[in-house]
Amino acid sequence: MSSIDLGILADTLDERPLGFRGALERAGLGLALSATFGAAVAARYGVTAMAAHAFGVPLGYAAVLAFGTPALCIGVAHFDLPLDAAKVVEQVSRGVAVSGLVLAGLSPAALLLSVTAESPVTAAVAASLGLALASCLGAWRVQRELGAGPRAFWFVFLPFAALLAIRVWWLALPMLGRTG
Amino acid sequence: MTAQISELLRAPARSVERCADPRARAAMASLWLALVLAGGASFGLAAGSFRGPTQALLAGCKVPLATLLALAISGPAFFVLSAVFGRRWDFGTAVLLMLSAGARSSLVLFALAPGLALAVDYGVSYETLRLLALGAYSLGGLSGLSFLVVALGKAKGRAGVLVCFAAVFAAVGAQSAWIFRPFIGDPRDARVPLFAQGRVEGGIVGALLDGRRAP
Repeated sequence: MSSIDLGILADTLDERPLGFRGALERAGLGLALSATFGAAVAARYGVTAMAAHAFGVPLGYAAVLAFGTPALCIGVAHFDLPLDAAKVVEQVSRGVAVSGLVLAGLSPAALLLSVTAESPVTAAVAASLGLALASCLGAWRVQRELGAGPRAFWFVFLPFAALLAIRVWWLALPMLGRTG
Repeated sequence: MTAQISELLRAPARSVERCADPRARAAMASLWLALVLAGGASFGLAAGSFRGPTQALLAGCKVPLATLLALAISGPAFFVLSAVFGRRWDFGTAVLLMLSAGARSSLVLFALAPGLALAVDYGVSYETLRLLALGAYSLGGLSGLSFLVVALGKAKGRAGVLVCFAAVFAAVGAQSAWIFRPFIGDPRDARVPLFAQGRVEGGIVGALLDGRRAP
């Protein structure tokens, strides 16, 4: 067990500077971990749905990384805030990793609720709450690391990231819209 | 053994310290597991006695199983949430802390089981007994949660772990109990089924509000 703890936990949560490549690896790890949650929430709909949802959950975070992070970097530079773009990329990657780790930890609970819930709406609500919790913890982590300077940006960046992720998940995770 | 049980109830901080000791883990885990089984079984026996000895035996088996399922399913969530909020326990310690909390709450169930059996003996209605059982289970849960409060210490992030984990555990615990139902045995059933899968009741909330419909 200790090798797992030191491996995945250290990889996702350690505080050392990462560099650009390290940040991408960290984000990749978070995306891979989040796929387990996607597979778990779709278990009631069969193997094909599990595969599709295992792709769909990381897709939401990947979209935020791909479209949100450059916007945040430009905004930080434009307003001459005391942060460099590399640090922003690093911290957003850490946030994605934290979200992925939380989703991996919630996967057994999601599997239980998905398979045994009487109504598909219950399963969809549980999946949405899991995504919301993990995303909030990821955002909290980014905010904590970036410090107080760019807080004004959270009024723009966070709503944009949330709306983008919700849109992607709504399109990529059919179970969220199922009622029967 | 009694010293360890007394320590779990009176001085949970010392039990928390021993959870991190790899040499003490196996013995602790065995004892806590036995307490979860005994506490759950006694509570199930008391609740199921409402519908006679067969249902009492079935409920005596199902309550500890539901508790262990809830602990096993929410263990990984506790581990990652603790880590995210700065508690870097290894997985074994996190699982043992969960099991300790489960054992503490099962001791409370063990203590409340005679009271529940007495209520059955006095002839309380099914609805009242259901509420009494829910209240007893909630008290047990609070005792387990208070153990986790001690385990998490006073460092920053304790409230965050507790709020997030309590939400996860409430959902998982309720669902675990729901899939193993019935425990008491609805008087409307001529013969109480072993499991009530396939019956449409509106989930755990619907079952509590008596939303039962024909399948």
